[in-house]
Amino acid sequence: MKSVHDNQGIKILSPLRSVSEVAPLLAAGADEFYCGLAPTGWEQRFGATWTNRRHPHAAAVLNEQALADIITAAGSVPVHVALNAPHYPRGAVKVLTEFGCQLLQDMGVSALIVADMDLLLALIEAGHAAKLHLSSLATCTNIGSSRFFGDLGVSRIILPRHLTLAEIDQCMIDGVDFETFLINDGCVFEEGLCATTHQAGTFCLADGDGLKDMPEDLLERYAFWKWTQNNCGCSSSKGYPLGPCGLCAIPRFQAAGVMSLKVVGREASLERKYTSVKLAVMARDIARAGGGAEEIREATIALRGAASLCHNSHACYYPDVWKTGTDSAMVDHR
Amino acid sequence: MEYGLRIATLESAFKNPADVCDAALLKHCPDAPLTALYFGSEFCQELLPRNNEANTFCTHCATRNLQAVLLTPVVTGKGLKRLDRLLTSLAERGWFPAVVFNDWGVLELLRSKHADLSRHMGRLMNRGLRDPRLNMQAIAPGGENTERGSGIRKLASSLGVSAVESDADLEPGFLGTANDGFTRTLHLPFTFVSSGRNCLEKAAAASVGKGIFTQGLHSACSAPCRGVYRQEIRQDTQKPLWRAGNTVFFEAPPAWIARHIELADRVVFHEQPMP
Repeated sequence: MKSVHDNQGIKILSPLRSVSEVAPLLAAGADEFYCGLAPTGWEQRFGATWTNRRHPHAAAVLNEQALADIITAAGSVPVHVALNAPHYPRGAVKVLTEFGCQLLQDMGVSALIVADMDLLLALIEAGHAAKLHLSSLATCTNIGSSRFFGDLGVSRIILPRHLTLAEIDQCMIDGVDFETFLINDGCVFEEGLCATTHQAGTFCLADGDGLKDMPEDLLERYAFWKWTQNNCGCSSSKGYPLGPCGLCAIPRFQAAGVMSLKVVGREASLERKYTSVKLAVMARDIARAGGGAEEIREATIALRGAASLCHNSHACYYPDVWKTGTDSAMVDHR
Repeated sequence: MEYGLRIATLESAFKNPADVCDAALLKHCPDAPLTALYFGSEFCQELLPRNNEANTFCTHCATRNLQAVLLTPVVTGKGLKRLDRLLTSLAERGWFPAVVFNDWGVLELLRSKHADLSRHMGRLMNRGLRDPRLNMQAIAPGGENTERGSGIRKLASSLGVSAVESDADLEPGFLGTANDGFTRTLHLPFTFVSSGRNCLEKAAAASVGKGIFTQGLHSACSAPCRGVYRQEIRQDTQKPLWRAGNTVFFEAPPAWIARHIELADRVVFHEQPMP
């Protein structure tokens, strides 16, 4: 278990995709940035294959010069680059290894977010383990897995969405930083164990619709839950996001020693990124001041609106924050 | 070439590959002996066998001189402890099954506490595409991409892994070549599409009320999915699609699977879609 607790330095990690977003997101309180990027000539060589988990045209930085502008504008605030597709076509790992080295050595990128084991191992072999963040797609869900990746030398592990707070506690080890999902964009399946591609459309949106012999009311509730995972398809009347949210769990993350909290949504509008970061910073600051889950929830509702979303835990990333007792993980019947 | 059988219950333990394999697929499979029986779960820690079940299974395998192979999923801290207890219990009874790991933490457990057990790298470690909506282009022999997975296979070899497993994904080659030194194992005919912890079968068995999905991760599961699988129809794919427990599977065309079979040392036939 991790020995450092009551972490006051917990950071808000913001997505971005252009230099024009840097100043507003810094003003909102972002402590770190992450973005996606493909090397020049990628599409000519590898076609429509993505370098990371999001659409290159809808969510990524335009090119290396645009990234350089972002890094300059961000100043001392770290900028991480996601190269976290779950797999790559023939020849791509070599290209991305060289590209990753260039980003780290020449461009001032703080870290690379990686999922594919071949790419991860190649970058480790190139001497960059200390600047690698293990993507949530690598599904690190227990302390043995944390130790495995810690021994490989990665500096940060991004834990998957679908863990309870107690399970997150059980993943923590010394010597590695941990990042958790905080707000926006759920996933119906476990993202790291989903072998489909969003290039062909989002597979899970139609999941269950054609399932035989399932109760209709169950499928209706499943559809509702999928809708909440998809950010309820809209924003609140005050312009704040309505998707999955773990703000109230920040005090628990702080106590567990989590170092960074991810705001999801590289492809989102600047307005959505801005309001998401603003919510996250507000909640983090309440936690820093000693506030608890209830205080954060009420402040969130006051700022964002949509009280019913909170009161029914419809969109909670970590609904066990409202459980009492010492262990809210799954019951073991053995 | 040799065969393995992934059975749903011990009642199926005396079946042969021909009993569970579709005729169109069987014609691509050379004659070869059955050498292993697979049990456990690749997709859900709630489905790990109880100690007595595993003991019975290992006893049966020993009686028939078949290798017992325990499938294990991605696990949480609790799942890791449960698996440790299961393997300890089996060792106390003199059973040492091969273990398929789909989680690096499980491999760490095997290396640190159950070092005598044979280690197989499971199919979830291959993160290649299995999207049933995509076309499968036939490839000529030699066209497979054995470069993919080369790093992970090298690492696995250094960590004492003896077998690499996969299903028929969209790009043959992840199992590598015969020169890599692994038993290259192919699971047929159900290729996994997607899996997760929010399980429809678990939700269906839960009492009616709010939060069966939002609260799903920390509610108890009595494994109501055992033996249950359902067909799923989608407008965006014609391939046969199945849901079993928390996982969606599809069946690839036999002609596509044939190339995968040529690249395998062991083929494991699944009696039915199973999480």
